[in-house]
Amino acid sequence: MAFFTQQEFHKMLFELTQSDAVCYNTLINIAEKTLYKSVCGWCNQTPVLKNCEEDLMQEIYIRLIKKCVTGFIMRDGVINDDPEGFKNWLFTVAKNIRNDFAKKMGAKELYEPNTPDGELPEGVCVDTAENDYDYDLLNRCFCIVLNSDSKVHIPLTWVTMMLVIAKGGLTRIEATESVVNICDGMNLDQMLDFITKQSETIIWLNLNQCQLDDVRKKLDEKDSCGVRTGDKKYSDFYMKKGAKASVSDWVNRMNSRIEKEVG
Amino acid sequence: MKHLTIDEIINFVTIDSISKENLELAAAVNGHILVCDKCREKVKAFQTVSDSLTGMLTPKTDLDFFEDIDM
Repeated sequence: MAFFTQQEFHKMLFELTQSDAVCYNTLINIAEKTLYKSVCGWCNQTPVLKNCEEDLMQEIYIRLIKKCVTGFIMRDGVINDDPEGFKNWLFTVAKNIRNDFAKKMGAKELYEPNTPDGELPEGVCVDTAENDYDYDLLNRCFCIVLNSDSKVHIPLTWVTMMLVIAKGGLTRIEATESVVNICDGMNLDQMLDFITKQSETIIWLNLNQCQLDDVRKKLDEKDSCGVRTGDKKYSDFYMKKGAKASVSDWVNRMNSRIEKEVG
Repeated sequence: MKHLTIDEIINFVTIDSISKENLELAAAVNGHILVCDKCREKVKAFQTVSDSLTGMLTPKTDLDFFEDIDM
């Protein structure tokens, strides 16, 4: 093992599992030894993270102390004696901290570890388990919605709503009003342009081009009168109960679909 | 066995610096949740909520966004 020895790993496990005298010295040493070089690489490669390596390491130590038991050591009720898995978990935590940090600093682009200087060390496979709850799960929800066979204005409404919430930190009610204000005068083509543009500024969101192309195809479809769907006004789709109630209803429909698929 | 209180769990989940007090709290909580499934699940649940809030909330809204709203 290139980053820490088997003995160090077991010493760390021993220190962390002595319930009467838990201690973090070896955990911190291992984290520093394993991650510091990569963290420096990330910081050098990402403008908003310049000179933040010490702050990032502090955040990493804090997260490790808080998550070591629930995130790694106890798996299915037994001690997880897996040094290789621990190394991968360390990098997962570090990568998440880096992403959160960059997000806080307003980064629109993140250095991704596929350039020579900041590549993840050989043999490191970032476990996405910790990501699953937030970024990966959220991205999956976007996929489910964009893949849905609902009429195209419905997924467009959901995606716009989520972008408004994610960008503005709004409540659901405020976001519903914003969606109506934003989209009321738009046609569906303009809505998709808005979505594409806004989604590029959210670092955790990876909208799949194929899915967007599928949406474009739906927008190109014509109705029985020969009118292209993309040219139709968003407001033409409102139901009798009004704009806000329609938006809310469409978002609920998509949420139900997500619930069914995600479980 | 004495279970963790909600205050202890919240204080643990929201630790944001390494101080002597925080390390003692972390040691006590981590020591307990190693042997107590019930409290471990509670801590996990609080951590999940805390993580999702960190992931979702954007404290600052950039001005371009509101310009786009006005268009």
